[in-house]
Amino acid sequence: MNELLHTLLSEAADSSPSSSAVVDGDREMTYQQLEKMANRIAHQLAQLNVSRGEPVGLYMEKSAESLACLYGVLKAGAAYVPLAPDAPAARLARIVRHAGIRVLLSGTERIRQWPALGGPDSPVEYLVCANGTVGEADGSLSVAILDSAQLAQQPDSCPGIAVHPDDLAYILYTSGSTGMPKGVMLTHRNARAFVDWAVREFAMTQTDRLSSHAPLHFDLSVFDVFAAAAVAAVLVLVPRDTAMFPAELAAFVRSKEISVWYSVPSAVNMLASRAGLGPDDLSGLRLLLFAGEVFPIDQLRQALAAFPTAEFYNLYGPTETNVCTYYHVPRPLPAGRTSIPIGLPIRDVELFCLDENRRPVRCGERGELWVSGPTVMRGYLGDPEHTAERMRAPDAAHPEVIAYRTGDVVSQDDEGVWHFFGRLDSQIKSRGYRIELGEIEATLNTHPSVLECAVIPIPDDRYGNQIKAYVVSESAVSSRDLTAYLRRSLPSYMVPWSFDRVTALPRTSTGKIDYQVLKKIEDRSDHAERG
Amino acid sequence: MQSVADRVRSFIVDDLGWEGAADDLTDDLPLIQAGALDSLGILTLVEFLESSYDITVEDGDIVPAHLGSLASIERYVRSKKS
Repeated sequence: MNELLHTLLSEAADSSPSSSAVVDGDREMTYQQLEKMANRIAHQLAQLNVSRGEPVGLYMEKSAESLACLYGVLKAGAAYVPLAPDAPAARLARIVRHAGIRVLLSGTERIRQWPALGGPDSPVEYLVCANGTVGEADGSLSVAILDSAQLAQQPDSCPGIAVHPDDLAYILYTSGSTGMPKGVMLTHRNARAFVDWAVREFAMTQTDRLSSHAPLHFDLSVFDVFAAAAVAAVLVLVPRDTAMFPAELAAFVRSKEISVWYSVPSAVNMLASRAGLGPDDLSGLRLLLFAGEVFPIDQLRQALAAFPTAEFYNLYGPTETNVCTYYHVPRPLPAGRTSIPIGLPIRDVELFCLDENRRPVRCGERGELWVSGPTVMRGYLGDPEHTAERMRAPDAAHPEVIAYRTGDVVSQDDEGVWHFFGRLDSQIKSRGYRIELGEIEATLNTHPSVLECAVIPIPDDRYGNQIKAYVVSESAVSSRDLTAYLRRSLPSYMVPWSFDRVTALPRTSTGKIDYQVLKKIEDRSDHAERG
Repeated sequence: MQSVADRVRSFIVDDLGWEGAADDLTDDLPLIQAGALDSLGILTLVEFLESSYDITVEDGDIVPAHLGSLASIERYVRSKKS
């Protein structure tokens, strides 16, 4: 069986050349057009000597062209690295350096940010503007610039570059506790193991119309992009502005006849709670998938009522494992349930629940979730130490079976269903984004006035968590200064919502920062406010 | 009494973590494009308006025409109060 991601596109272009592949605002691109554009990009990349598995940056707003770029990178045998279009340039520049990105595919909408990424100490040699032409090049850029005029010169035939299923397909950067984001390396086989399972499990067909809500640097997009191509269905890009307004989003879902929706729970909740939906308003939606964070149970009940005809599935899995479990939400959801499980492992995935000594815990007891199987990443880019720490044999008697330690606390009930309880470490989710609080602390500690700091999560039903920072500083420093400072190198969802200046941080008997005390202070003041 | 625009301006700075100076938030600044409001920020803003001005923001009113700038928010809240 062919297990490459871009084969999904080529096969769709063969079988359904004139079918719509992507709806991007008022424009549509057919599978044949998408395939041809991807081929041209692949030829261009080959001409720039892009090598097998080489990280190629993708720095553009989600669009029909950005999808062609993504497939072009795969066809060239390289790995795409999506850079969040709205992230601070300083953070992206660190990722570009870390991944050693030599070729950056971008768009006219990001031209102004190029100097920050293609500056003197940057590894970038080529900037390719895929969706337009670039006039006078900026003299400060010491890179070669290519644009759509050059791409148009490339042949639109399949470049026929040999790619193996175990080659890298993409690298997704996630928050890292040391202050440097980690590059999660995933292969074609890793993604196909999930996508092929999903296409079958969810009975996807060519008549489906899939929402593309998550940005490309968010691993939810792997389902939308590739499951659509697998059945030659339509991928409908949800414009960022539309996604902001519940009633407009609902009208969009209706007018674009979206049948499969996939997003973080907060976006589902927004549709269900504030779009003014009647019971049959979105009856064309047959499948509602959510992932990325816990769906608060009251909101889930409201959503089930708002979409009475859709099947709901909870998909679970850190970026490192792709989706590795799923749970079909029952209708009606039994009264008295306070949470829903993460469910059962997907095909060929094996789960282990281990204690701190790597011993399996008994049914019903809590332990750390380890995941092994074809969906699990190859490792962290350029970080063998961290890779070795997280990728280990769960069973010493079978050293050949390697699993990823998720850091998630779970248990398995006597029916074999898995339940999620939280984290072992200080990783949190806020608005569906995964955040290492240590990364925020490491960045805050670089501020010249900050002597030390501690960052804690404050659970919140809407946002998952809000972030609060306690800061000990040499001189008076305002929250606004700290916010502005962090904004320069962290994405907005990682910037704390509030800062408290304190004279000292509470310590445990061993001298470590006592986070439990800080969380208790927060609990008390929260109750006081509400009380 | 503080104008609606001024109160919302403070709210965006203090509660929604606006990165720039309050002065950058001019009455006509498009709040979405400027990154001052994201999808959850809008819902938080709606709750703020409802509780601060004792109004009910109908679901159909959560649109850029009403919430797209401080000036339009001011107009919207005034129309609800009158």
